[in-house]
Amino acid sequence: MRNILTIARMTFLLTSRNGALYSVILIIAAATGCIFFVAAGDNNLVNELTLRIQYSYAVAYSLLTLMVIAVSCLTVRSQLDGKQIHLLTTYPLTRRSIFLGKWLGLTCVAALAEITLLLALATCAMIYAKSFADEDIQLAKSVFGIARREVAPAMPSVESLTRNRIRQMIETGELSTDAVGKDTWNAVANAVRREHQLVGPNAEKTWTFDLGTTRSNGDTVALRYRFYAEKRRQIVRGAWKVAAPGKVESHEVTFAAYPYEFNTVRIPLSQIPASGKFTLTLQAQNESDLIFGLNTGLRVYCDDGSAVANVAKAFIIQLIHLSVAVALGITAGVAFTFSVASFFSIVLYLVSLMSGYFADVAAELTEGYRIALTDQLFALAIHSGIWFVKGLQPPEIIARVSAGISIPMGELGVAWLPAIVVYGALTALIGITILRCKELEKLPG
Amino acid sequence: MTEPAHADTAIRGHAISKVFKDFWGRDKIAALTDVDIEIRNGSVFGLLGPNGAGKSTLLKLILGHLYPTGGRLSVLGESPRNVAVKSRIGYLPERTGLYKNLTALETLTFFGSILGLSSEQIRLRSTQLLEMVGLKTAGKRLVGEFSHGMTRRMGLAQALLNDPDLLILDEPTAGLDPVGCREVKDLIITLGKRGKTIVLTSHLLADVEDVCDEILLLYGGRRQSTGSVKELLKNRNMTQLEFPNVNDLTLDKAKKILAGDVPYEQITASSPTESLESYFLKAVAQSNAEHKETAGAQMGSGVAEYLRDADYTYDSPGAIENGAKEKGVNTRHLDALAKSRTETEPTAEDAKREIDSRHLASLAESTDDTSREDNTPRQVNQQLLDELSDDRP
Repeated sequence: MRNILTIARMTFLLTSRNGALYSVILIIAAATGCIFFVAAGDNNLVNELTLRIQYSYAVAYSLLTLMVIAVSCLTVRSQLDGKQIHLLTTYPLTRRSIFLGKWLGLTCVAALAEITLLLALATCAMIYAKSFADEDIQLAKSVFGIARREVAPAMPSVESLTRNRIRQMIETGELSTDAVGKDTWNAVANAVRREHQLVGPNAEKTWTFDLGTTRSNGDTVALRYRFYAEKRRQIVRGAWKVAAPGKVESHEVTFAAYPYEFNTVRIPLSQIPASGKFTLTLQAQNESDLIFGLNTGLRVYCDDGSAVANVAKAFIIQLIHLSVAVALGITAGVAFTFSVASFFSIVLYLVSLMSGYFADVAAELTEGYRIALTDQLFALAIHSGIWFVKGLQPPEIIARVSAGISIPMGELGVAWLPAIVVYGALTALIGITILRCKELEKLPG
Repeated sequence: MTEPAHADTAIRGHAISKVFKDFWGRDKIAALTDVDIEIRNGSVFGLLGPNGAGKSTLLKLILGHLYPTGGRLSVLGESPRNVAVKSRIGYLPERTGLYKNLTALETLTFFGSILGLSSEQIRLRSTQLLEMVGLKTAGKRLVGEFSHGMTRRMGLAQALLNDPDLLILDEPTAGLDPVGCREVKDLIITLGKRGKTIVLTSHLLADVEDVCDEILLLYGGRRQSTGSVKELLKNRNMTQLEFPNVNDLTLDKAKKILAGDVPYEQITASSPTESLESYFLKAVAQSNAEHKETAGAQMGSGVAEYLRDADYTYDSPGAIENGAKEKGVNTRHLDALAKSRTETEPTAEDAKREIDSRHLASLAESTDDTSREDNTPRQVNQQLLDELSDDRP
C-alpha cells in the first residue's frame, strides 16, 4: 500500500508539473463559465439558474470525462514510451502496484478537476444572481438552499399496461392473436397513455404516492403539478384531497390554476402517514379535458437535507464514475499506442453517452405483442453493445442537482453502482493483467 | 524457467534463447540462441558484441523485462521476475528513464521511498550520491534541464541508491565527458572491490578492458567467447618493457643483450605517450583548482561514503595504494587531483611530478606483474633492469 501511495503521489505531482492538471482545470473552469453565461431562459432567477447550471454542468462534466480519459492514456503511454515504467519495474515493486498507484494519482487529478467544476458553477451562479432583485435572490436561496426529494406517482409502465390490455382483449375475443401487429400495439398503447393522462370534465382522478418510511425534514411536502387544457388562458378551480389507507379523515387543499404552468400546493406533513403511502385525488371544476403528462404532470417534493450534502453526494458519485474513466484510460494506454488508446476509450465513452438513444431504438424494436426474430436479434445486439459501455455511463444526477433535487442514493445503489463497480474492476483487471503478463519491451510503442 | 541457485553465482543461465515473434506468432528474429552465462559474485562482467548481437536482450532478460523462449536463467538465485530480488539490484538503463519534471533530489527521494529507505537514509544517500556524481549543485534542478551526460550521472545515482549487490549498467560511460568516464570506471572498480557484482555493456572497449574481470562476447545472438579479460587479451608471443629515459648507448647495450635471445630487428624502442584521458583529466583538475565556474556537472567527490567498504576508506593512503596496485593508477591520480582542489593550488611542475611518479609506479607494477605470470621473458627483464640501474642519467 505504501508503494501504491508513493506512485500515486508522484503521478499527481508529475501531472501538475507537466501542466496537464492545470490545463484540465482551466479548460473546465472556462467551459463552465462560457456555457453558463451563454445559456438563456425565461428571466426568472430560479428557472434561469436551474437551466444554466444544468447546461453548463452537463457539458463541462462530459468534457471533464473525456479529458480524464485522454490524460490517463497520455500519462501511461508517455511513461511506457519514455521507459520510466521499465525503470520502475527494476525496483521492488509489483506491476499491479504501478497500475493502482497511477490510477489513484490520476483519480486525485480528476477529483481536483471535479471540485473546480463545482466551484466554477457556484461562482457563476453567485455572479449571475447579483443582477436580480433581493426577493428573487431570497427565493432562489430558499429553493436551492435545501435538497428536495422527488416522488413520482406509483404506476406500472405503459408497456406492461399495454401488454395486459391486449391480453385482456384477446381473452374477451375483442382482438384475435393474428391481428396484434405494430399498429394495434401502438393504438392500444396510445389509448392506455391517454387514459392515464386524461381527466375528463368535472371528473375525479386519483394518484398513489409512496414517500417511503424516511421522514422528511420540514413541516410540509410540496405537490408540484402542470396540466394542459384546450384553452391556454382558462382558469381551472378545484381541490386536491389527501387520503391515506386506513385513515378516515382526509385533508383538502383548494386551488385555482392556469394550464401549461407549474403550480405548487403545500400539504402538511402531519397528513402523511408514517408508512409514507397516500393518495391524491383531484376534484376539478373543468369544462374540457385536462391532461397531466406522465413524466412531468405530477410530482411530490419533500425536504431532504442540505444542498451542500446533496452536492457532496454528487461529487462522490461522479468521482466513482471518473475513477472508472481513469481505469479505462490507463488500460487502453497499456494495451495500445496513444492514438489508438485515446480513440478507443473516447469512442466507448461517447457510445455510453448515446446509450439512451440506442436503448430507445431497442425498445422500439421489441415493442408489440409478438416480436419478429430479426427484431429480437437486433435488440439483443444493441443491448449487448449497451452492456459493453454500461459501466461508463455517467450517473443521471446532473438534472436533479441543478434543480435542487436530492440524489436518490438507494436507486443509484441498485441501478447504477453495481454496473459501474463491476465495469471498473474488470477494466482495471484487464489493464493489470496486460501490464503483468506482457513483456515490457513488446508493449506497443 | 529458473536455473538452480549457486552460492557463488550472481547470474546463471543455461541455453538461454529468445525468439521475437511476429503478429501471427511466427518466428521473426532469434535474438539469442543457446547462450550460457555464469557471472560470479563480486566480479565485474562485461557483455560485448556489435549492434544487434543480443547484449541488450540478455540484459532485459536478466531484468525481467523480456521472458526467455528457451533455457533457464536465475538472478541472485531467483527468477528474474521475482519482485523481492529487485531490492538487491541497481540498474542504469541505456536510455535513462528518469522523470524529466522532477528535480534530482525529488527523483532520488521518490526511488528511495519505493526502496523503503527512511527519510534520513534518503537524505544522506541523496546528498552523498549527488556529490559523488558531480551534481551536488544541481540537486534542485529539473532532470529535464540536464545535459545528456548529467542525466547519465543522475541515472547512475539512482542505480546506486539501494547499495545494490548486483549492478547492471547499460552503456555506463556513453555520453559522459572523460572526467565522468574516469569517475564511473573508478566507481565500478571500488564497488567491485567491495564484492558487488557488476554487469555492464559498452561499445567503448577500452573502458571494458579497464574495469572488467570477465567478458562475454556475443555475435548474432550466440556466444563467441567468454573468460577472464587478462587471459583473453594476453599476447603470449611479445614482451613490453618500460623504463625511464636512458642514453642511446645504454639502449643499444640493452638491445644487444636481448639480441642473444630474439632477432635484433624484432626489438623496437620508443617513448611512451601520455594518454589523452590523463592529459584531459589534468586540464580539468587545473580549472577546478582555479575555481572556474561551470553550470554543468562538476568533478565528482569520489565514491559516496555509504558505498565504500567498512574497512576501505577512500581517503586512507593505504587504501589508495592498494586500489592503485590492483586496478590501475588512475584512482590514485584522481584522488591526488581531488586533494589538490582542497589543499594546495597545484603548479604545472607539481602536475608533471605527479604524472612522472605515476609513470614510475606503473613501470614497477607492470614489471612486477609480468614476473609473476611468465618466467621465461621475466628472467631477461630482471637481468636488464639490474644492468640498467647503474646507467641512469
